Amino acid sequence: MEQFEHFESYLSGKLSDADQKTFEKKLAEDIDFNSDFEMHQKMQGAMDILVEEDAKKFISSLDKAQVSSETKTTKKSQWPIYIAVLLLLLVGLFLFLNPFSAKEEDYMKAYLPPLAEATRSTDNTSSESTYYLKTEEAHKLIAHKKYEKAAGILEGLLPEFIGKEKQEIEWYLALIYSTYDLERSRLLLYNISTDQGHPYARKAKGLLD
Amino acid sequence: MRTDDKDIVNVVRKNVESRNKVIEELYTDKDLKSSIATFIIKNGGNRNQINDVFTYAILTFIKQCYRPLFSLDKNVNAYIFSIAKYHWFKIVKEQKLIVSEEKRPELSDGMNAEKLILKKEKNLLLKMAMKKLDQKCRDVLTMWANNLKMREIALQMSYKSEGMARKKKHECVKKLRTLITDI
Repeated sequence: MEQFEHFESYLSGKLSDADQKTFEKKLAEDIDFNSDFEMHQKMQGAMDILVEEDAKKFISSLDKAQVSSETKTTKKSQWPIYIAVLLLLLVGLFLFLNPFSAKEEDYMKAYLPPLAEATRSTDNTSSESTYYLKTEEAHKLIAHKKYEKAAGILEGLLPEFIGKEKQEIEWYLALIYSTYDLERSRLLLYNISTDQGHPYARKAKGLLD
Repeated sequence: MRTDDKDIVNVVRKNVESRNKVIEELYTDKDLKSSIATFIIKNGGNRNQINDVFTYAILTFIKQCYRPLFSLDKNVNAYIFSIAKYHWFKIVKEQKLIVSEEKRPELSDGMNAEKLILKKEKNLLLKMAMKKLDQKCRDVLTMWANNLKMREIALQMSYKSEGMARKKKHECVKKLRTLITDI
């Protein structure tokens, strides 16, 4: 076995117990062998540093490319964020002015965000109506601090929806979880923050930071 | 298509382009990153630490690929995850060590702390010594460390022949040996 291979076998723990003991004995007794081994380790360390620096440069170029694509995505998708913020403000204002004393039917009418009204279905059995009914129920529970029940409703809705609705549910769930299960909330916020197309990605990132 | 786990070590060793392709595949693997992120968050880490540990694990795997006796005996994601896990426990242990030393200096495990400091210092000294290498030598040695053939090194460095590249490499190895001898 060549010395290089011998050193590497020892370093990677591939020598038998007996060979390992012999190696270590030689290391302790033979000065030349010891200094060759030291030099081998240093040279390998130096090679590791060179490879690492080179690979790091490539990784940072990947990061830069990702940041620039994120910036482009953010610029393109800013309008849904504005709509979402407006929607949240309207819901907040409604909850503030009408603390659930109105009849359910009246409440549903008032709950419709003006921007989405033209496209909403009047059929109460449609999935869109289900979404608004259920989220409204969840918001009521949130207002009464019944967070776990609200989470249960939203968790039930999650598999039924995709796209914007699903992303909204995820965001609300992350906020609700923070009241009783911080770890779960952080995990969900992390997933939201790493999803480039998620309208709440920046908010989630902000909360985590 | 992602590189097959069976071939990944050889693909890394093949050349810089194929190595970078593997790094990109691993770095953009959402499942891999998510599993490491979940582990770190569950074990008391924060978001900023996830990326550091994730990058460290990938770089360690890449460096391992250049070890002549290295072979992958499990799934690459599982291997990188285990590096990340081990590294995270090491970070936590170091932090605890520092805290315990601050609180109870007379009871601290001095040997462990000393070993850690010595290892870090040695690595730092190695890096400092290597800064004294001229850029051409760094480039040649980086290519050599990345397993590039002499012919490719000659091409990249615009040397007249493979022999010239070999000669330059010998000179640079000699310089490096001199620089790191006293560390």
